[in-house]
Amino acid sequence: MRILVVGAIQGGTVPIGHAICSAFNQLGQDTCFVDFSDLLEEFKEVRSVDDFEQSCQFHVKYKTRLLEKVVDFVPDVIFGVAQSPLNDTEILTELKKAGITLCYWFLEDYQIFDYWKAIAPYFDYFFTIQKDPFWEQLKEIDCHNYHYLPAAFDSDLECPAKEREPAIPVSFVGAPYLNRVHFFGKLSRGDFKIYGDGWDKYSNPSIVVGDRRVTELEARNIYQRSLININLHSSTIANGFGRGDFINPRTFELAGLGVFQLTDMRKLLPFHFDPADEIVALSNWEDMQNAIDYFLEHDAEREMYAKRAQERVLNEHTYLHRAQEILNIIS
Amino acid sequence: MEKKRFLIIHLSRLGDMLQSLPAIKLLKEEQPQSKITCLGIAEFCQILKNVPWIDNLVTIPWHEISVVMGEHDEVRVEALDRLLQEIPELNKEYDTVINLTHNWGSTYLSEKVKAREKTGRVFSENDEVKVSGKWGKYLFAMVKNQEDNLFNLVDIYMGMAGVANRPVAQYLPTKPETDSICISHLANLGYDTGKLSIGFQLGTNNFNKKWPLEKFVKLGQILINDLNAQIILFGSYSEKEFADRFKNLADYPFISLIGQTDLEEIGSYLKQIDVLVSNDTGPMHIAAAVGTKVVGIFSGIAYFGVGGPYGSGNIAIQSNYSCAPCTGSTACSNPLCRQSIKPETVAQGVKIALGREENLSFYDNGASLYKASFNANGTLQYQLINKNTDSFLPWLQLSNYTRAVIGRNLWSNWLGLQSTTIDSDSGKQNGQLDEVLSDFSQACTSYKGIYGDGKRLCQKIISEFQKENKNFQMIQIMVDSLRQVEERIKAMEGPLSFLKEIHGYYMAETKMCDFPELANEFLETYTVLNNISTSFETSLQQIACHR
Repeated sequence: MRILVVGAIQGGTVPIGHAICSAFNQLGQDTCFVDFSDLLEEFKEVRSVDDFEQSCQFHVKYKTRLLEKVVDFVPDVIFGVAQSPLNDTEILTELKKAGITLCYWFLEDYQIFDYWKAIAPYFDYFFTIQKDPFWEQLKEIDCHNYHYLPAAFDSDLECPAKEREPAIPVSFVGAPYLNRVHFFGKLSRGDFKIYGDGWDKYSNPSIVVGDRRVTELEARNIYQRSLININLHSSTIANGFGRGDFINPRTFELAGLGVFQLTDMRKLLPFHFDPADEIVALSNWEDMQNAIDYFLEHDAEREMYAKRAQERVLNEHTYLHRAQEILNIIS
Repeated sequence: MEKKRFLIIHLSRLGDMLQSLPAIKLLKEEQPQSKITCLGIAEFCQILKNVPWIDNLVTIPWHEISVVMGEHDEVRVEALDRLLQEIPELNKEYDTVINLTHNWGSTYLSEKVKAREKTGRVFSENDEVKVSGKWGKYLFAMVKNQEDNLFNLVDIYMGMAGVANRPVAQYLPTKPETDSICISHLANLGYDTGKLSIGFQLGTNNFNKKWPLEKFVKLGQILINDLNAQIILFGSYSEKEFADRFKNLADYPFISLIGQTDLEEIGSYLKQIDVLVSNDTGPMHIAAAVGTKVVGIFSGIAYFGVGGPYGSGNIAIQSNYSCAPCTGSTACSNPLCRQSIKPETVAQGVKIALGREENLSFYDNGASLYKASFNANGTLQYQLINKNTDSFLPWLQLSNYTRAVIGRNLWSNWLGLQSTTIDSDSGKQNGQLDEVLSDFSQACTSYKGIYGDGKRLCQKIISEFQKENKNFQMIQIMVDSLRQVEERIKAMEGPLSFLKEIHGYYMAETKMCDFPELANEFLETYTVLNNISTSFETSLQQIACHR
């Protein structure tokens, strides 16, 4: 199969596009990747100025790039990831008329990012990281070919040499969503470190990097040096803890790297990890604090959880596994 | 003695109905001349026909009641009004209406019935739902804080009925002739009266809390090997497939009563066995009610703290998964917590229930065992048996249990009970007790601070209104500050989350009026809640001294 993977302009799905493309390739498919990440600065500028002409020019630019690739590569399948510029329904219609199978991997929370409403019905296969009630809503807009496909771990990505020093007792890498600001503000301990773009707006003595996004390499270095990685799923509700359904990509990444994490319980988590043996998933913030204290004192148990989670991920949750699943569905 | 007339509205499922029987029995004992009418759901009340303490049993079929029990809308009101017309007992006058049901529909019915006194969910003057009585407030506050509660539902219902808490045994009578029929039937099925008999209740209404059938099969083998027991399966007609699956998997003989008993007979059958091992479902409570020992299995949405089988010596086995108990909104669709409870652990529970063993010989990180006994204050409490904490999940379970024990001690006084002593081992070996006490103290201080601020603001508002030249701008500022006090309460987390819920129920009782009268209402409420926080501080100091 000839698969054209359309990457995202910005955000966490940029590397996911590369990962899934590489995975298709490893499975013997003919692949081509359309990279839009170089347009990020232009994209930011277009969004910040209210200039219709500039905006149109930008849209023409990325659509042209996409269509040129389509004409050049002649794919059987176009596979877009979340935040990729596969949002022009006229183009999608034309691509379908050309006999190309259109797939989209919506790796977002449907309640926060609602652009799925405009585009989902145009895809032949719509992959989601959530199930009902999202699926009910997809049916309502006449999108019926949806499939559950959670995020995964990129086992091919460059990993820094496994440095454990200097050790960071407890860390968090990520954006300052409301619930994280709320709960981390209560975590008054000197051994807790926060890294991520946007944290500089908040006064929290734990912030180490707050004015930029840490690079993937930096993030992995932090994960490996941390005895405990806090993986609190994002929420726009201040006391949002353990109430969501989907599992974020960080869960798979931390597990895949073989580092220890504490996460909040998610409805779909028990499908992928055993909360007794493989991953510690808590239901409330008090338990999270207790767990931090406990696991800082129990090295062997911490390492056991990390090891089991890694085994599970490498056996079931890499992009290679996801790519195979996608191919099984669309073939 | 005055002949008081009670109406108990209990439009709930079988388990809840059975758990209210001890309260009804005690009510009748305390007031033998009284007349007690119970309103329940027909399908779950068949079993109550022979209960002598219920003078009048009035039932509504499930299909009629299920549509009206949700939240308010015009259709439901119309349907409820129809029920009121059709049921003569709802048009009589009572001395006391006790509403044990927690939904809007029951509140509406309670509202319409004429009575001098009403407890449980009622309507306020503003037509909002409020909860009358301390035990009722506690029950509904507990719904969002299950893990922090160790009061059994039976005791909570006793409190709501206004009777003194004390142990009640065998509160579901059976007919002697039905007992004889059941004994005879069992004999025909090969029942050996000389052997220990262990019943298995395989099914439950919710998949999420159902212990896997394969584990029941393995449990059976262990009990046969270790105790030479005979196994008897229980279940309704709709659970017949379990009998077939059990038969396919078990390579030992057993007796199946699945699909062969109805609700009127099952109590008689359960009386003939020594122990019932059960999911959290109706038959578990029937067994407890007829005096048979029970080993209850709790996972998913089920939690032993409130729903553990009532009676001394019963055993509750609770999954240690950190996400258990879950709620309707957080329940996953792959409840691995059910798998965490090993057959060997349940077998130990059976042996302890039978008095064959006192202590655990097998440690299971996936589950904790609790044994029931009665406190000096007459309430039931489940105490943790296995205090092994060599891994995270049991450690966390112990930590949460310790917190619940402290919480129970604190709330006992407020509920009018003598405080129970803290089990000296609770959390002590892991230093958790000190930490939990410290967390509670900090929470008390925080609440007291907020209530203190609230009281001061109310007093200032009242004082300003009493002046001839009122400063309305300042009054407005203070009213805005009062709103922030309420926001601060809503934002409170951690121990004493119960108090936040109780706060809400007290606030629902405030009269709808303007300032300065409203300031008086708030002042009264804040004073009550501040006093609760203060009493908790005193109790915490006493606990710290005596540990």
